[in-house]
Amino acid sequence: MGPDPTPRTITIDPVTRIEGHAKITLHLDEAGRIADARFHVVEYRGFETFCEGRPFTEMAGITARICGICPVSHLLAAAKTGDKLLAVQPPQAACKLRRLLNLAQLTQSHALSFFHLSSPDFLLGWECDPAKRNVFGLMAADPELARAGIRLRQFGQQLIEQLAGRKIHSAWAVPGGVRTPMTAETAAWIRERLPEAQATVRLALEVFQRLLDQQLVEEQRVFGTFDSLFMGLVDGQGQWSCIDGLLRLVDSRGVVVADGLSEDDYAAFLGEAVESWSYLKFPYYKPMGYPEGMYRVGPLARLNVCERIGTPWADAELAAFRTRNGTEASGGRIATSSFAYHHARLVEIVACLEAIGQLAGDSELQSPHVRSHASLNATEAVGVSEAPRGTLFHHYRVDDDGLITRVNLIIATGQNNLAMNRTVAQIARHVIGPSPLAEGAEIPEALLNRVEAGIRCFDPCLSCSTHAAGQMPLRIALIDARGRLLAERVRD
Amino acid sequence: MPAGGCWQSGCGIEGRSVTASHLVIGIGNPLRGDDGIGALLAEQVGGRCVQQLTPELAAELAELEAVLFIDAWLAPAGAVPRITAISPAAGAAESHRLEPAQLLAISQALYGRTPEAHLLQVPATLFEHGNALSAEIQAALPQTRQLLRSWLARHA
Repeated sequence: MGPDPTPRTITIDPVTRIEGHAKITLHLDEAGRIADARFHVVEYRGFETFCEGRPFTEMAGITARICGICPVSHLLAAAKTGDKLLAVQPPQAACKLRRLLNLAQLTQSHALSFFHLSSPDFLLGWECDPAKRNVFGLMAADPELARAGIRLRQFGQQLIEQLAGRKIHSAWAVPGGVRTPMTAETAAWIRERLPEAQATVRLALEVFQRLLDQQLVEEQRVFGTFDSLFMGLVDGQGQWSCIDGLLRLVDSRGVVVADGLSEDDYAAFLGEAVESWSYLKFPYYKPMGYPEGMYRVGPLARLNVCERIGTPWADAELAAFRTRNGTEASGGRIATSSFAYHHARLVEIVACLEAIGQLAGDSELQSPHVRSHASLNATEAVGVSEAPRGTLFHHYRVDDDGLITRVNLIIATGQNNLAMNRTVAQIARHVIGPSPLAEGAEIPEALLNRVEAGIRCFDPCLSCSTHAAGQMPLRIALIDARGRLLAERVRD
Repeated sequence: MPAGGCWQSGCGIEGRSVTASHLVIGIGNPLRGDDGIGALLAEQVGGRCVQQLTPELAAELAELEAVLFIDAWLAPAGAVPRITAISPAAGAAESHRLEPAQLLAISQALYGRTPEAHLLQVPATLFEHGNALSAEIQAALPQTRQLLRSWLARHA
């Protein structure tokens, strides 16, 4: 008996342990092989429309509420956009303080991603019961690692609170600068807590690299390993940058495709496609068209586009990262496996902690001059920042009273959209193998686990826009190649 | 307060600071309608506002005598605000969707203790973008405030 000719869809719903809600559908062709994979975002994010009519000075507070995990990213992008609407240059102290805030943000977000979202997979194994392959399983298997991860995230969160007065939704970063300088007490606190934080990431690197050598060999090969462009900010010396600088795109061979790009001109080199089956947009590099202009952002991309990080330990870890992950085609320079995002996050934590230590010793951050003042001097502006998940753009148009008339937000996760779909398809093809799925074949748990894990490489954030006790919309749909709904199940 | 009134105009809880050993944690997004009720009420009493519960909160809980979580609730029609005691309960966890019972379980597992814990649930219906509260949740505020006052009085 030959394979079932009816195209089928395998659905994984919901995807756990990522921020927000989504489902994955795998489309089989008539031969029963994986034809396509789609990562559906089912939650509508209407913040852009909501912002219209609001004073641009409120945008930091509004956009920070898009996500409770990385609000600082939106605060900083909004503040930088506001700088341009006022046509002011923030004092140098303010620029350094904003950078310090973002370094703390990257630290806490990456810590959450690695220790609580992803490490259960690494440490407990893909075949572990899903009911245990989570933070509770991690705590049982390695409570010390779990506690260390919490302490590392607390370090980032508490530094944000010390600078900005609140851990989340702070109004500290404003157009023109920031509200207050760093205190001497905060500088002392950083020096006191930094060694423990660094010890934690050192431990994590040891544990993870051991796993990479022993248990995660296959994953490095098949979890989203493909050519693409990579985009991120670099400073004037081509070094890793989390907030200021210009945009660079490189390809998988390490060739610089575009360099010195300003966020002001993003519409000239970034397009945004729309697909009927997802609320996420699909950004792409315009000169190469859609979908060939697929690019990745975030930790992997930032390490790929930079020449170096600029601090000794981080540069040593970057060299080790490239030795392990760099492809032959790029002369060992570019990592193309999406699984390397996890390693990249740890390298970035090292970079953040070293930079935090340097800034704690910089007396300029305690200067009282941290804000430039002006009235509205422009009616359109774009701000950019590197969020934990990748490059974030805020584009505002305002009227003469400074009220928002149009907003466009290009979110980091959206820019990885095409790459996430491709990763899912690759993993699925690998797990299922070349043989078509026969009618009635059991879908292995391993497939479901690995496809979800492939998405988690990107640490996507689909907005934590609501939290209501008991709310968990769940939809499973089976759709054939002709677009006919074959079956559907909804759970409220 | 008019129907659909903005949460920013307050809800009538006299400012009463929680002590270092007791904490009120309001969960939700103030820019998603009724979802912000937890944050509103927690802020009124000097508590903590979080958009979601995350693992590092477990370390803080372990040092508390008592905690009250406040959250919007997709309740059956006709439901009224309620306070229930909660106990640690592990289970399939998503970082974005840690429930109070799971956070307590993390606290117990990693730090060996948990505070006395309750959950104040407020029936909610409106989750659109905006900071307006629904008429239904506005109507439930007097009873909600009474429950909150009672808890604060018991944990003075």
